Amino acid sequence: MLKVKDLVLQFGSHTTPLSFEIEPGTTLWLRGENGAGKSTLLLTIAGIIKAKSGSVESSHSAFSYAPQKPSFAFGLEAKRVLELAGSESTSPLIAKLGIESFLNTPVTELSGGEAQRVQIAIALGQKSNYIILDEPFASQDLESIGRIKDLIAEIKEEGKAFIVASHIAIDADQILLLS
Amino acid sequence: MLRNRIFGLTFLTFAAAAISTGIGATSSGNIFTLLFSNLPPEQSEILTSIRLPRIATALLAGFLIGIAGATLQRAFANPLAEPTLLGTTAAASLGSVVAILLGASSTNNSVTLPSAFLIALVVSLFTIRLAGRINLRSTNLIIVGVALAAFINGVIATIAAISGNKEIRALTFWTSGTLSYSRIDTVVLLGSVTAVIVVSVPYLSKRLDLFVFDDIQLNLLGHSPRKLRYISLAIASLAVAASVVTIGSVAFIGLAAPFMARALFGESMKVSLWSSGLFGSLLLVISDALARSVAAPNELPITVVTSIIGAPFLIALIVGRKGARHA
Repeated sequence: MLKVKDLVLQFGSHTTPLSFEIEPGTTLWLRGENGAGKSTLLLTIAGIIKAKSGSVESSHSAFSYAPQKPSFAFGLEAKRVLELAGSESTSPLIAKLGIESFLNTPVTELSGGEAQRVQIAIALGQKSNYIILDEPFASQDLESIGRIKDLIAEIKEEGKAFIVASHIAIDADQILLLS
Repeated sequence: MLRNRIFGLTFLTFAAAAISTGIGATSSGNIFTLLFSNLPPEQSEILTSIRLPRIATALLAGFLIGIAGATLQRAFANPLAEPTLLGTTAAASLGSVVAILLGASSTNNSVTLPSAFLIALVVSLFTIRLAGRINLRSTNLIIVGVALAAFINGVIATIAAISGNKEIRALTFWTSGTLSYSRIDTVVLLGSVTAVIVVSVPYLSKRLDLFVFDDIQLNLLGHSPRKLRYISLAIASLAVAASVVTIGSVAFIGLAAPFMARALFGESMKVSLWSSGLFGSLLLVISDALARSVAAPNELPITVVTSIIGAPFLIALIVGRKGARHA
């Protein structure tokens, strides 16, 4: 169980204190306009950014995170990047995200959508209790959007919780609107 | 596999050519003759007392500089990072000068090496703290490093001028480098440090590859970016310190060797870290051969040669990066 209580963000236009809970095996869909503070909220929940006030409590503290814009520093092959993150390049996840075809391509040469799928594979492949995805569909075609949605539903069944910021609707257990 | 063979063959060819270059020319064929039979005493003396220690010093110091360059480039996430451009080399020189000033003999490497290592590490840590305030990947980092190096070299020049300490070797040793002090004990020191670095390469290469992720990802993957950088800087500082106390300051090899390694063997440090070291060896052996032969019987400082080759290389890299950004 993740409990967010009276959280006020450091950045973003949303200034009202936020309080909500996320149960294991559920999905929270985070909505809001650009600049509202969706990415800031995600990073605050993960413990990367400090909140102005309020608290984030969880029984398990393991988070994994896929940013909206991957920022790989240099051109390692996608296979090596997955290996470094502890994800196996032979895992079914790789096939389901359609990554096999560019496993040997340097990550700096991938398209925005391909690089984002590598990041999503890393986030989904972690042994974390909470998976945070920031605009995971932003650079994806319709087929990939469907694949990612299917994976979220599948992994949720294993008891993991998702927090997904997205302009595209997803099948969620609760919706949080930042304004 | 073919690339490895071509690289190995090129390496051996240049090393053999370098051994046979210089005062009292000894044909490369004589190296093998020496191994199996007797040479005339004069040539044998040149080869065993002067030429071979010098070549071994160039191979080992070049290897260490190549490894240090590759390590710093990853730790700072900046392909332009290099020991001389970041001030690490100048800091190690200052550490040696301070040790000598406090009474250590310039040839007592058991004192000058720890001092050089310590100051190089402190300055590297200072640079990375400073770099945290600017963009690690920007040329601003290099500008800060160059300014820092200029400041430290100014301090060294001042110390050399006012101390009157005869043990502080010619200022050009600290600013321009030379392999003319190479002896058996130089080779032993460099060999010992190289052994430590070689043992750490498999451990280091994986950690350097982890810098493909930004600090947020590293934290969430369970790694401490700060700890990773500190370990990398410690290893790079040790490598730079060992090269500085033995051959002085040598510019650009730490920049060019990793670049060539990555171009030939790819970005993963699993192979490129080793090959950065080997390219460093190759470049220093070639540079030393040129330094000995271009103005013979006079000898050029080694950095004169590496700068003539390396400075245009650096400019091309920076212009290439700017071009890529505007593309």
